[in-house]
Amino acid sequence: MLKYHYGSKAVVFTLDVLIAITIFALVYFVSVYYVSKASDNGFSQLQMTALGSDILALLDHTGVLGSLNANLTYNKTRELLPAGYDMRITAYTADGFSFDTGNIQLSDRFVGAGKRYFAVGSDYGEARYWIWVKE
Amino acid sequence: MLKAQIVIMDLFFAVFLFIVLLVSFFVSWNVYQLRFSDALMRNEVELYTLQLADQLLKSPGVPENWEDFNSTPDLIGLSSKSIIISDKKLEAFKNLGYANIVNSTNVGLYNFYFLLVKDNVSIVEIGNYSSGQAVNLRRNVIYKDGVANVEISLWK
Repeated sequence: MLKYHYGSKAVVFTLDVLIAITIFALVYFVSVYYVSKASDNGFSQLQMTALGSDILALLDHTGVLGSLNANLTYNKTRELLPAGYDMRITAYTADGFSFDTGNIQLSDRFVGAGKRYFAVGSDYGEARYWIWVKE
Repeated sequence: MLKAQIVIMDLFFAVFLFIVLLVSFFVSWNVYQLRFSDALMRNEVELYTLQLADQLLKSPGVPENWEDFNSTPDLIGLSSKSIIISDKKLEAFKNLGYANIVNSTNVGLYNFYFLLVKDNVSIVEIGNYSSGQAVNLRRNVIYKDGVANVEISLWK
């Protein structure tokens, strides 16, 4: 290439700087990308997970979880969920009863999750939730 | 063109490129440093807001029956049981006043706003709301056997 432009005359300094700029720019932009990506959305994801936890606690304290009624749990969850969010709740008890409010989770976005133990008469149950932003 | 002239031109061009790179690097470095420190500060406020919300809405405070005393508690908590807001604690919280609340919640560096709303009616409002750079957190709680919303905001 050098011979094509300048015959036998070299452009060593410019070539050197161009290579340095390329390497530097690559490292710089990759690091900037990862730093900005790391600081993105952390709070909104935590807030969404806390929202899911609050809803599960509300369902527990109001006796909805303890009723082991999937339809009631689903309807009450929809009442409490702000627009733009979706949530799935599953629960099972020590004696083997279980239910699932049954929405499919999405794989292309953040899904907050958690679990809570609740009382069912003299027994206990375990409820899990998944919460995400709707499409 | 002589080889020597090409080499000198090449050197000048390389130095020029180097200086342009150096200047653009320092400019963007400064911009990112500012953005990064802003993001860091915002992360800190966000973390404080989350911790404060959990402290207020999920714990009874220290001592547990702090609402029975006239002094400022070591730690303010408003719940009798996780996310169930005690009316007595809420009343005592309101009576503490803004300065005592800020001291007791260790958020002295920040401005604080608290709002409890039930059925679209404001029950307790503490502080003045800032619509600027505040970190806002909205949580669901149980107040007087019904669902209520608490909004907590912190800002510098």
